[in-house]
Amino acid sequence: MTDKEVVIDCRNVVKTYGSFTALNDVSTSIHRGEVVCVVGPSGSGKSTLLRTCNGLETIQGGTIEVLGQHMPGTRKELETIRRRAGMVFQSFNLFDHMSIRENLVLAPITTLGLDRSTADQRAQDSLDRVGIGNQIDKYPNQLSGGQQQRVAIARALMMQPEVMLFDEPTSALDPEMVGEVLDVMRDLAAQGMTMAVVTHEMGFAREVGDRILFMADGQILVDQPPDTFFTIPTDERLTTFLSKVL
Amino acid sequence: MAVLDELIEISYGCAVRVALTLTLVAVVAAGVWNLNWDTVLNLDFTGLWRFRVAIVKGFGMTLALTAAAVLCGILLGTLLAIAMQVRFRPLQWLVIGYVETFRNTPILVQLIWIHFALPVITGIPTTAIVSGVIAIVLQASAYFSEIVRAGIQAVPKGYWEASDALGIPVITRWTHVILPPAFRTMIPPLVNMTISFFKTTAILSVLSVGELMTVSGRISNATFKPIEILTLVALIYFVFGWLISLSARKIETAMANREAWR
Ligand SMILES: Nc1ncnc2c1ncn2[C@@H]1O[C@H](COP(=O)(O)OP(=O)(O)OP(=O)(O)O)[C@@H](O)[C@H]1O
Ligand SMILES: [Mg+2]
Repeated sequence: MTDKEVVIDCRNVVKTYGSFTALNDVSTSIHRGEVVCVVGPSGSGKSTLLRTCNGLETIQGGTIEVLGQHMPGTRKELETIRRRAGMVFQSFNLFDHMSIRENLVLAPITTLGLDRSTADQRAQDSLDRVGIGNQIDKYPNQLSGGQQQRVAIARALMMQPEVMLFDEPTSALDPEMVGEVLDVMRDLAAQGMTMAVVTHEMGFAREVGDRILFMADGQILVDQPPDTFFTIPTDERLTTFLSKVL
Repeated sequence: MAVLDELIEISYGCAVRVALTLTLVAVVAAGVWNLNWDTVLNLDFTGLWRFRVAIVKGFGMTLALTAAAVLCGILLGTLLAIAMQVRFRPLQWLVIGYVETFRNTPILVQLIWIHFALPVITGIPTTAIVSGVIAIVLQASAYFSEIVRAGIQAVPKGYWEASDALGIPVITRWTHVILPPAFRTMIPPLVNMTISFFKTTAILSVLSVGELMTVSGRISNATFKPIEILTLVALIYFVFGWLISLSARKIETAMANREAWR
């Protein structure tokens, strides 16, 4: 794995909110094709870590490089990086006043300069890929939560990203819809997508993850492949955490 | 016992209702009784017919002024609201100063100031109508910017995050992502503000800008019958203002239905 190209590289990252330290000297990297799952108790800084990698949060210390680009860089550079790194949120964040089609084509048309028919075709392909190709002319609130999250994934795919960041993509879903979203993510991983996934789905992390990071109090305490992560816990707090969630 | 209590309660309620009704009737009757019936019965509205063209023209001017206030107000107000979102302190202070100035001084003072003081300062004289339009547009933009600001703040935070994460350019973010849902929540306050500025145009009559209230004054001077024309003008303002709120309610229901249908 380590001989592959580094896609995301965090070195000694520090993120503070006022006097509160949300990320405390975090270093890690993600290589091309790798699926890294991030777990940990609430408030441990998982979302913050993901958001700093997409420039949604500024950092107070350390460095982040995404796809060889130092973050955040100029405004143009930041926008370019964000187009190459797709992000999926817990709350979907679809634009409710636009149809699914409009949600999907807005960014590629305005940023990549795609013409309408190419964008439409790509929208159809992306939706087919997440299994809801027949919903293209509906509006977000006509869809179930699981379908909405799949639209959000399709919208991120429209930019043909090289890496995808998922922040608890199934946490806002009814239990019966979690599976359909995880299936889509599993497919993406199988197709070689580089992914960072914050999740509480331990089964998914174990099955799909190449590495699992355990975070607590703004630090990465454990970074292990699944087989050792679950079977040979090296950290006391991880043992406590696992005993609660498993 | 319980039945008795209930009976007492019911009869007590009845007594209160009867007393209230009687009082109301007495007040109205006293009012009607004391009316100056000579004057009332001698009111002659037919004489206004020959001023119909002037009245219609005046009302047209009122509508034009309202339209100017609302359209320019929304446009400028939106720009002000967007400027408030830009993280640049001096600009924010400037906008706040502007909005607070125009919201917290009477339109009458602004009007007179713009018409008489401003030309002295700038050396550029303005006609009554230009001063009137400037004053009402400036005040409208201040009020509308507050409405637009509230509308923008009602847009879910996720819309901003998603457009950032997708790398959507700033202009597109405003025109396609933030403003459309913002304007949707703004419709009821925008309509109220429209009615309010429709009525405010009457104040411009102090500069004789030729809107309905100015015309009303002229007619009253010509006929020596102020009551008739003032009553008619009040009626016109009322009917039109009421029509605006009615249609607004229609639009709201229609939109709610469309949302529900989705
Ligand atoms: N905008 C903010 N202002 C102040 N504090 C914040 C802000 N955002 C996050 N925090 C704090 O930073 C810490 C880490 O937050 P973060 O959202 O990264 O946690 P998390 O691991 O994603 O938790 P969860 O599992 O609940 O999503 C929390 O204690 C949170 O209160
Ligand atoms: Mg989180």
